[in-house]
Amino acid sequence: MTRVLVVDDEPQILRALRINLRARQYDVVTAGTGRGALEAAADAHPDMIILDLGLPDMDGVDVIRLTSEVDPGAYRDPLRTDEQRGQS
Amino acid sequence: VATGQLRVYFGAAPGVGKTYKMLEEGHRRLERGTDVVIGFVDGHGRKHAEELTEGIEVVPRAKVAYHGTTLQEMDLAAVLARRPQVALVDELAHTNAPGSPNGKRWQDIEELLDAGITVITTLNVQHLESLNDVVYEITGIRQRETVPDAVVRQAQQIELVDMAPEALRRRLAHGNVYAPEEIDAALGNYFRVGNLTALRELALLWVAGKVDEQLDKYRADHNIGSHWETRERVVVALTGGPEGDTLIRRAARIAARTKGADLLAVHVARSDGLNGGDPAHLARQRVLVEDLGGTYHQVVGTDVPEALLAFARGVNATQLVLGASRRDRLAQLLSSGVGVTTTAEAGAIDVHLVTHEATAQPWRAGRGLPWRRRPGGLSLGRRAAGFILSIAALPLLTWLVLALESDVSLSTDIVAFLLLVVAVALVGGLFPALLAAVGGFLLLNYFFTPPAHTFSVAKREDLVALVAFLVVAVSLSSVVDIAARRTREASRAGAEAATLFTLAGSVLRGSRPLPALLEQVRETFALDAVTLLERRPEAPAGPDLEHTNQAWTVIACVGSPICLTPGEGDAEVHVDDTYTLVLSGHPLAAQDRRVLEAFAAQATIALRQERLEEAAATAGSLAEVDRVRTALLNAVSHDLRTPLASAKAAVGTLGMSDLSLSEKDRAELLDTAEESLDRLSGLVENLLDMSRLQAGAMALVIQPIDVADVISAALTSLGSAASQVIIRVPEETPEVQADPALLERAVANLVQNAVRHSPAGAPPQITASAYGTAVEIRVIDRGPGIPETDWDQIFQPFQRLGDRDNTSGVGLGLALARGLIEAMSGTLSPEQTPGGGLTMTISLPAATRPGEAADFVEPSAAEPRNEPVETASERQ
Repeated sequence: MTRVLVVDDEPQILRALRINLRARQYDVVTAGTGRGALEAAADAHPDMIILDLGLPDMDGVDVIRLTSEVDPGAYRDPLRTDEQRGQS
Repeated sequence: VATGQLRVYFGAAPGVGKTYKMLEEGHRRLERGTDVVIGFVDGHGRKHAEELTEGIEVVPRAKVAYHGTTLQEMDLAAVLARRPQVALVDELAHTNAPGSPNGKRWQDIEELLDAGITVITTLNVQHLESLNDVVYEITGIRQRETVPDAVVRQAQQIELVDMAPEALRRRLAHGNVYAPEEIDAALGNYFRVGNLTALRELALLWVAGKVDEQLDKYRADHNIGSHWETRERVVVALTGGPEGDTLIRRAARIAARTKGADLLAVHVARSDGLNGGDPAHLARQRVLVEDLGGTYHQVVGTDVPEALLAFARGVNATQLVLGASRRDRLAQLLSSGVGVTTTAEAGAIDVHLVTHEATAQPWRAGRGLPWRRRPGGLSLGRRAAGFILSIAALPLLTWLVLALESDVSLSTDIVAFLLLVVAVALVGGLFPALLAAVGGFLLLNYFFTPPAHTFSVAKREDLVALVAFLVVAVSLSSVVDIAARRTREASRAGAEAATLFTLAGSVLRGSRPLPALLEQVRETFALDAVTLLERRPEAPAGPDLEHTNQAWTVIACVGSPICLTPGEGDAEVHVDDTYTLVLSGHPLAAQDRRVLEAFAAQATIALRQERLEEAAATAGSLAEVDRVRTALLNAVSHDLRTPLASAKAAVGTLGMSDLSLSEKDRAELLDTAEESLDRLSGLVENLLDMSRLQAGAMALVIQPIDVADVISAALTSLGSAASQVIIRVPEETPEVQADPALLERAVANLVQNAVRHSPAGAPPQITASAYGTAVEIRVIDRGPGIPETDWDQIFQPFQRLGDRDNTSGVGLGLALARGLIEAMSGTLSPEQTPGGGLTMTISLPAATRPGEAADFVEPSAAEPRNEPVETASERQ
């Protein structure tokens, strides 16, 4: 089963995505902060991370960099959308 | 038994460290082997003080039952039985619980002293009986617990425990004095720097032993009630001579002696221009005055003392500085000088006559202020003297010449008369000289040309001589007169130049040149009011233009009455078709018009300059508005999109037929959608309210409402998020004048913000308490707090601190809360929570005057305290 880490500080979004992805047979791990995301990445070794770049405690770009350090080579070629970046 | 000694640690306010000092002394005495016990010490939960109680024997407290609670008091009998050498007893002014042996603690202490026990105690200045009124004036809190001064005065030693107000406030902010939940309105207001400074001063004064009754009264009268004092205003008169510098410095020193004194320099420009003031001196002195923080003024007048005093009275001067006369003794004998006359007429204004270097050197470069000269080239007096001279001298000369008849020829006679005409012309000008010329002609003709004693002339050459005499005499008269007129014109031109010089200076200097310029016109020409009018472009030209209100707009005006049309003034100076300067007070002298036209032209230039600045400022604020709008769009789009996105994700998932969702999942998704939509509607509601507030379209229903009801409604509206919030609203809190729905929204927004920033385990608190005629509601959080420099910023809509925080919601809550509270005539202000965090204080008018009741406030069992907290309910 593919494991997905969803990182977003918006609990409602987190919940909707979790249910949706789970119904599609993904193993879903969630985190609400950058720090939580790093911990989850280290513990659960997800295959994919869906990351909100606008997080309360740290910059999403730093999260990307640090997860790569936690698990070198695991997360390459981040796909980036402007969904959250545009307005902050 | 010898009576014990009383030692008092005296402080200006709670928290300065009296108890600490007292305990320190207890330890020192213990170390020296003295038998010291604690009769009663309340550390008020302050860590440092409580640590210090360790190691000193404590006499157990007496417990007094009162209205179902147990109050703790010093056990007087136990302390007396224990018979220590020294007893430490906190709070000299404390009122014992009903049922105790003595009503007041100072009575207990007197018993201890009588028993030979030395007592060390503490006291705050606000508890001194004699200072009760003064303290009330300062703090607004009537102290119920007071100690007669005599009790304190009998103390062998009084030691002041002093702390700077700022330091005390810092201690308060760090939570070293009170816990945050103890801070209520009375206490928060008590610890303002102003209050603390005043109390500190009181304490210092009292300890210095200088507070006699007179001083109390003085302070009650002056410092606290209406602190209004007549401003000292020093006017220095400048003649335009070099001694002005000395006078200005001297006047500045006089002004500097009084705090907040004003310095004004005035030069009286005489309308006849005969003052001989040197513009170079005046220019330098003007700069000097302005450097010394004063202002320079110029008035026009014929009578120098009169003009000077009129100016001084006009500006409410208290002191007037004049130079001592530079005139020699002879001149002083002939007429009294400006100084003497001014002093005689000064009335309530103190006149300083200052000697200066030029005093000793009479009649050098410039003359002093000249004295009582009439305007015009030749004075009336001179003219009259000319007439008198010609009438008196003509017969005299005739008689003289007749007496010498035999020896003198006609040509000599003519020369003699010509001489007379010149003399008269020099004294009296044209008309007396003409009289002398014609009179001389007739007399010569009658007495000296043959045939004598007739008006006929026999010889042709005599006739020619006579006619020549007349022509020369008349020509001489007019030449002398023209010379005098030229002199007058030259001096007027000088005065104009001086005025224009001042004028140019004022336009260049002022930040708002137009009013300054008009004021200059008003002052210089002694007018009541000066108005600059602009003709409306659509106003039709016509005979009524001068009197039609609709045709004119007032651009600027100084003095009163304001003229709404050119017709209302006494004089009018046209600038161009659009602008006109209207003067009221007196009609305009023809010769002043030229200067005024220059003024008017300057005024329009100043106006243009002002308008350009306004346009620049508007452009700047438009840019600011634009920036705010962009920030708003960003913030709103973020805050709208987030709940929208989650609602959409939830609903979208629900609607996917290919997914098999459990009932639980469905319910959860529905919840998610609902929560998101609730958030969305809350945000939209806030936005609408904000725009209504900004448009001034908020409908208010102000009524007396119960604070507790509003707070609980606000918390209910926030749902589970606010379930942890602690509410402390005393039952006796008066109702407030407010709109229930709006206050609820404001409180909800504040609580939401507080919850958001509160760390786990330290939920926000809400307290309410009355202060004066207001009720203060405090929303206290123990979060990270906000630096004082950012306090203004947090109330700007959409200016979130730390922009990237998605949980903080749109930066609208605080702005809206403040807007709502201010719409209800209240205030919302941030403060530091003692021990860290942010406290938001809402202050609203109380609906009813809180009663004077609460004779004995029930303190909680743990803290029968003596501090202002306790007396909070006893407000005015």
